Amino acid sequence: MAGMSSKRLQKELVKIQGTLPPGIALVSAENLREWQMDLSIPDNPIYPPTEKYRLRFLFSPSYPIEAPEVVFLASSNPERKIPIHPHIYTNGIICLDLLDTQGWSPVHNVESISISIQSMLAGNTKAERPPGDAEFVRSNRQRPRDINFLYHDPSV
Amino acid sequence: MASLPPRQQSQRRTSPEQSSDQPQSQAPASPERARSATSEDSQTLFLNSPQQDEQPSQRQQQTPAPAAPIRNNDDDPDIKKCWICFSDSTEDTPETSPWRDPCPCALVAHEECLLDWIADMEAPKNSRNRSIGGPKIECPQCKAEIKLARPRNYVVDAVRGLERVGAKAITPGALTVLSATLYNSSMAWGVHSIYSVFGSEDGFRILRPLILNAMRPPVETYVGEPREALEKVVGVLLDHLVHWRLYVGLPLITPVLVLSRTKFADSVLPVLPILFFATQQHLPDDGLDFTHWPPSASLAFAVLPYVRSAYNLYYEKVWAGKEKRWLKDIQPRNGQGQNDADADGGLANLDQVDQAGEEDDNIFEVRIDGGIWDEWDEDPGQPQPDAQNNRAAPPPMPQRPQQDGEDQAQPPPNIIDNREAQQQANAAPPLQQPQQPAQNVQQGERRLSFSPTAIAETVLGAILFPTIAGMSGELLKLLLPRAWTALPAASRLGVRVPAKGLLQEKWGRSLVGGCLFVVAKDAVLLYVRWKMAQMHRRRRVLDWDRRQGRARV
Repeated sequence: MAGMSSKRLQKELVKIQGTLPPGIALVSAENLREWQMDLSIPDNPIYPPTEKYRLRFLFSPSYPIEAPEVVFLASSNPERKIPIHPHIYTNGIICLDLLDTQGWSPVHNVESISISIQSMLAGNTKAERPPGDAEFVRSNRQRPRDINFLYHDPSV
Repeated sequence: MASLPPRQQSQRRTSPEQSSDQPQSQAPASPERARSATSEDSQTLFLNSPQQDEQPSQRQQQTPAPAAPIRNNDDDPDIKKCWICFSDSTEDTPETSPWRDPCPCALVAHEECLLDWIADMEAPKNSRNRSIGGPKIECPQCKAEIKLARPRNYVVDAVRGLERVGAKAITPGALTVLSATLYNSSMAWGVHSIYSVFGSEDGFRILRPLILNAMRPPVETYVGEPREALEKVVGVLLDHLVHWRLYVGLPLITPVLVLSRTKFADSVLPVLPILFFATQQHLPDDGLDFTHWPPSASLAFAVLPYVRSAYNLYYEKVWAGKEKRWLKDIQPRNGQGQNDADADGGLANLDQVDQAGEEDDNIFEVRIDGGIWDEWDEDPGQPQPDAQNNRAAPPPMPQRPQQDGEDQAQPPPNIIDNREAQQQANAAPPLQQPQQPAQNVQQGERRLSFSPTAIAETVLGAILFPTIAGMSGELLKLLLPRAWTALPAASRLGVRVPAKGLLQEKWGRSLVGGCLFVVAKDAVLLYVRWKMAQMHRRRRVLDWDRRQGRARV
């Protein structure tokens, strides 16, 4: 299985190193387990264009059959924050149906995930955190893939 | 992955190494590949297997060549690209699994990749029911169903089908079992109530259809003589229908008894006898006869709700105010005891349970003192469930004070709080608010408090009441002169002579006994409260006698 994941990731990497849509940049892809991308959002006042957001992709050996784990990373050098969005928790965990077992399919790839997240942010109008954010951040111990998110808000 | 060469060409040519790394083939190649892939070295090491050293270096010399002619195999419509592993058909080796085109859209994939993906989709995430086939596998782009051809094995199919059916039947099955359990246990309690109220002979007469129906023919009959068995079964069913009142009413005795201790019953109970009277038309003659004494059993029980209401009214008017005052006297002057959870004194319970009934006009909802009865007729034709309230919580009385680990020496303070809090609903001092025990019901509707102990007490009291009433009836029989309670002598000869007074029938004694019990209990409680209020004022704290080393007596 690991062979499939490596092979596919290599192909993806080649493509990513070629062209990427505006606002998405590859930061590092040094191995076939963890990649990092930077996102910036054009044209949404909640997310100033000077701010970039760091995404971390973690791949398992059964990628692409299994979805990668995608979270936002905060760091101080370089300055990266977690974007404010009703579906993004302060610890960087993203509540997106695409990333869940139910909504994932191998037809997506790193680039399409980045584009989806970028458009999720770009189309957002509410600068607020998810309800129960503090509690979740404090008490969560699970990997994102083990969390049962309830996808109930199609408007964001 | 800086080591990846930018050009597809070199990749293509060295594809034999790549495909050799496919999952099912040689494992040794993969670690090597991974190793080389992660190396930071120059591009030459990327696709390295040891024997190919010279080839990549040759390739690398070509990399400075002009920018990619066919940059992307993607643009070539004849080259298939697997949407799962992203490999091209140009990278096929003899070991690659065949390409499949399972749906109308343009997505194609290797069969191996597809099967892996489908296996993952079908494996449910909870490992319990792996055997159930998942939902249909759909192509992610065109949503067409992807069909698989599996070898057929009828045994497998049959078993899986059974499992599916079984899985659906779990919930209804569980519900059925649960309700059957409740029904049967209610039935058992109902039977017990009948016996304790009516005594063994009358009880048997009432319950006879039940007992007869409980006898079943042995299993052999079913098998050996199917027609007879069928007749028997049908007969039993019909009998059930005929005596539906027994089968419906008996299990209802217990729940109605319990409910009758709630405020809910106050509005419903007086209505029931009217129903009873209204449906009398097909009854045998003496049913509604008001002129005979003793009244028939059904009549007697039918009247009980009224008796209960009358008693309640009397109690309220005469005693409620005083009782309230007495209880209040026992409270600390500024109003607060510790009472949180259950006010479970035997005393406490009664009143606290009353709390619920608070309405705006601050009337104490005093619970009954009627008997709790279900109304059964002597002849099985007319039973109607008709239960009344009982405030009795007999056994709990002595043990209550220690419950919940409360430090209350005096159970009443608990209730007092409840009461006061509710009665002065508008003006409740803030002090008392936090004291409002959990069991105070939210709306004034249900009388049952929500603390489990109090609920248990209420239920137990309700269930035990028929027994208690029966025993009180027996007590009456012992205490009262024989002439009142014994049936006329002729009955000993075997001829059944109708009774001349209410007390001569066992059920009559039970009825009266139950009522008297409740009245007596109330009286005793009132006395106790009054006394406690009195004694309360005369308490003193004792000094410690330092010479003698103990409290100065």
